[in-house]
Amino acid sequence: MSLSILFVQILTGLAYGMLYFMIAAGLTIILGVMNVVNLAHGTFFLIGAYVAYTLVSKHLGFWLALILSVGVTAILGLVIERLLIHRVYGKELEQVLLTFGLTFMLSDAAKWIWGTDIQTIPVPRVLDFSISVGSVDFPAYRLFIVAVGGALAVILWLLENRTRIGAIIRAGVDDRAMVTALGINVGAVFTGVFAFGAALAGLGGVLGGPLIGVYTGLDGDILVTSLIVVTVGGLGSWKGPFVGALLIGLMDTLGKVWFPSFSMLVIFLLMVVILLIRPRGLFGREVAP
Amino acid sequence: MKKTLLSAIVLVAVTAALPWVLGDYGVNLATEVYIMAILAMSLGLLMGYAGLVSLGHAAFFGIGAYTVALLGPAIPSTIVLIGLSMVLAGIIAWVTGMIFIRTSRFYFLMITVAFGQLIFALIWQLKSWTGGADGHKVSAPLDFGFGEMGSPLALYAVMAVAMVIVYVFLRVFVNSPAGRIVQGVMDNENRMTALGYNVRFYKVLAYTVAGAIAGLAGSLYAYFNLFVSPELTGWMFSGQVMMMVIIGGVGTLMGPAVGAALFIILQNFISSYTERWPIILGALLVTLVLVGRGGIVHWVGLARTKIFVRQKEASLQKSSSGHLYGK
Amino acid sequence: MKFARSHFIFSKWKTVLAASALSLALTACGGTTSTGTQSPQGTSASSSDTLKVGMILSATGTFAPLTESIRNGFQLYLDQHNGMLGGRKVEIKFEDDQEDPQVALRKYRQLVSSDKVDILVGPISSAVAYALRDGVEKDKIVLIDPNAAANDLSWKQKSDYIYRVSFSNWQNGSSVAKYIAQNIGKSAVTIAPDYPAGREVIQAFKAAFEASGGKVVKELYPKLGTNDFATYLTTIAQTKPDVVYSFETGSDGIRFVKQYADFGLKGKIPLTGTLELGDNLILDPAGDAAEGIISGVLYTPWLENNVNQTFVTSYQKKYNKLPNIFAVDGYDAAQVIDLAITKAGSTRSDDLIKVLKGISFNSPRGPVTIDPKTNNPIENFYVAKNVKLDGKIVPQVSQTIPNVTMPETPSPAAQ
Repeated sequence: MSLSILFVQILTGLAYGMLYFMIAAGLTIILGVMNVVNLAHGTFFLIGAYVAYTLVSKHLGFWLALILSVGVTAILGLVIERLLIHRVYGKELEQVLLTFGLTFMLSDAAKWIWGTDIQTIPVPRVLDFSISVGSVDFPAYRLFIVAVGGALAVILWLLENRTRIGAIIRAGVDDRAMVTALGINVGAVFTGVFAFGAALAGLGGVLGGPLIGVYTGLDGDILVTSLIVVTVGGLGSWKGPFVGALLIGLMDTLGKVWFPSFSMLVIFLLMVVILLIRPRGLFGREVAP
Repeated sequence: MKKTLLSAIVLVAVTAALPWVLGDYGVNLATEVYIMAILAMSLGLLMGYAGLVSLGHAAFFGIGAYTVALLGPAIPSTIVLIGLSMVLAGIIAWVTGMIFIRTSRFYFLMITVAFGQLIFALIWQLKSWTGGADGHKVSAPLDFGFGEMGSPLALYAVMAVAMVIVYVFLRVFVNSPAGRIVQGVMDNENRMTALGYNVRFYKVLAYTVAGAIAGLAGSLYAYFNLFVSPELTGWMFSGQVMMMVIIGGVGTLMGPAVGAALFIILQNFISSYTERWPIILGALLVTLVLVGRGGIVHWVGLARTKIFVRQKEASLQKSSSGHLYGK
Repeated sequence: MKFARSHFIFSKWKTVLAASALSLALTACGGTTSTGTQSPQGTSASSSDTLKVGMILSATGTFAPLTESIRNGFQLYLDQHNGMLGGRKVEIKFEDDQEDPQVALRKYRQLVSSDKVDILVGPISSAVAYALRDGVEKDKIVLIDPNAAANDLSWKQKSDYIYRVSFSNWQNGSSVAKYIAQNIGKSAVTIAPDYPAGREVIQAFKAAFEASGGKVVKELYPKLGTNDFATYLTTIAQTKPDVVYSFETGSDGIRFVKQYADFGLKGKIPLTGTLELGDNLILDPAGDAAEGIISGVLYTPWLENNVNQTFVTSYQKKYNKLPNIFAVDGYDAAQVIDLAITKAGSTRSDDLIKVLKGISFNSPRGPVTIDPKTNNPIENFYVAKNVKLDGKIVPQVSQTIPNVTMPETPSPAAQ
């Protein structure tokens, strides 16, 4: 494999890794802070993408559509948390049943609204070109995704370490009773965290739209991979999903080159091996019971 | 053991009476329900009595089913084949269980997903042997020494008997000293360690027993369905079995079986009447969570309490929520 | 040690009540079935005025768009014929198999022994077709296959009760192979998903392509549901073949076509492929990236024949979009049932299978005959190139490949 080809593979792996990062970041925060396994998280990704598709086809422009659909998924997350999720805090199996039921409902509703035809969101015009890398071209849009993912990592790092909200969340992960004792409205923080997580998934959906398309069943495909990312990275900090996502993105891409007939096995094996060495994932912390 | 005996008698009476009220298809569906009930009961043992929430349990079911499908032509004896399915699933559960129980809570859930997907991928890839994505026929006849049992009623009877046996076995197991230690580990692992029990051994024991019974369910399913495909081992199927257990009630033996019946019947009938079945099934699941108190079986208990023994209501609350994260 | 928990106290009563709940639930399900113990074989003998058609297709999952098209086509034919097939009022029982052979078998048993349908239409997936095959033969119920393309359904697993109105993987793979070898290039890289259909299509292509003097220099098999083809596209760029031949369907197909353009291969190495690459299902979402692809199609809405003109007009009127090949397959499934019952004068399976062998009909795709040797249609394929017309990508037919016929047995090369 020539150097330029390897370079292209790595860039590809990074681009997909960053998409996984956007979804997994929300999943890991919700799981780490609120102790909720949100199986409906992939559905936020799907709905973000579908809303953006509708807005773009109404000639609203990619960027406006991006902002609006991230807003829509955030509101959806907010409503679902207030109406349903907050009733099942601390009851893990009920959460599984509830969020599983929600996925059924939301993805079927999406099928009802948008039909079964496969859709794609066109790449925004300013990014619709390719950069020549040795013997092949590389689409600029993917570099854009890598950049957005990088920026998001920085923002999450700042949020976690430099803001009051971040401090509360960190404290909440370590010792929830303490935070409540300090008079902080944990309920409001939780609602905010859930909506923020949903918005991140929606962002991933919109940005992923031009790359992987929008279709029924996308939510399930994306959920499994992002759960793996969360597991590999570990719960409790932005670092886990970031490193986990890049690792999974790269291994998935390079696995296709090195073990073509067993590429579907590579990321699962990677997860098992990592859990055997570090039973809480790479950056997992002990989470409050 | 009187309770066990009485429960078994009731079960036998009900299952024996059912074919008289069901039509052809009803008998067929009930047969499938019994097999799924065995599978759900085995996962119920893991989730409700050992606190191990697995999302890869279908893998053992698939191992059992493929054992019958692939070795059927070579091994004529049904007993040997079913036994082999259980032993194979049990051994694999024992080996993987030793590794998996090192992880806990969410990570255990995910490592079992990975295990299920690994088995799925193996079956998918080894297509010259397993048929890959196209699935594989089952040609082994179901024969316990008194002729081939291919008719719907014979199959029904076999599966019903198998379900009753598994139920009785599990009832005996959870009440045995080993079974009680398994539950003690779930309730308070540190205490059991302090008391000098080999905590890991008992967790692996529960995982192995559950795996072997899932293997049994899988082998029976192969005889019933006469066709196996990789979907049998996937995480989607594992997820459905987990739904059955939660719907029916975690921490009981009969709950998962009732959950299996309800889940299969609901899914089948709603999807026959409307194309919007996922929305309705989803809404039912959500409603169940909002009004439920930890599964159907608990409702039954609750109703009885409300009517007959008001003062004992309090004791029901204890057994509601599950143990995804242990204690 | 205290192990007693609430459920131990209540276990006896709960068991009794739970068992009753179980039996109630089961009785409820039995209640909707007829209580008689009529054997399934009795179904084909019904001679009432309604015709019960059981449909097993995949409404959830990645095949959902195909299912929608097939149902649309079937319904359109019914609409055009007053809801009647073979002079009988049609009642459709639709079941979703969720692409899962296990679910399909359960639905099949329901349709045959509880709903007592007269004839079956389905499935989408070949794995499901294999799963249903033995039951169909045992129950002697006619199955009209509107999509499942596995070759063996016409060869080793052929059944007198199963008739395909769509196309086989062999036909799809071999149709344009000769054209490509003679007109585009001699060295080819192939790419298809790593599952049985992918392998079958590529084997058929390779055999026909190499028989015409071409050479397949590399075969790529990404997994089904691949998000990213970068790895494979860079391999193609390095291999520098004369032509790329691909079988990618659904969302995979759209991503492949778009990424082929994104990575700069479009315009450098000609892209060719199976009928999916010339079908609206992929062309509409893929947009300009699909321009220039050459494919062997079975149908385009612009085919010039009378049946097609009426079909396209009424399809557009009813569904507000253009039909695709799958809609045609659904339409023809209804048509073949209509003709067979009329010709046989009966809905009994054993009468139907006598007339289904060798039956001919005029499809929107052109004339079709069911080959009695394979129970698979003999039909025309067309060489089509995707061109831009009024801002929309459409497949333009340049040449007809007449009467593409599946061989009676697999050729040694295809083994």
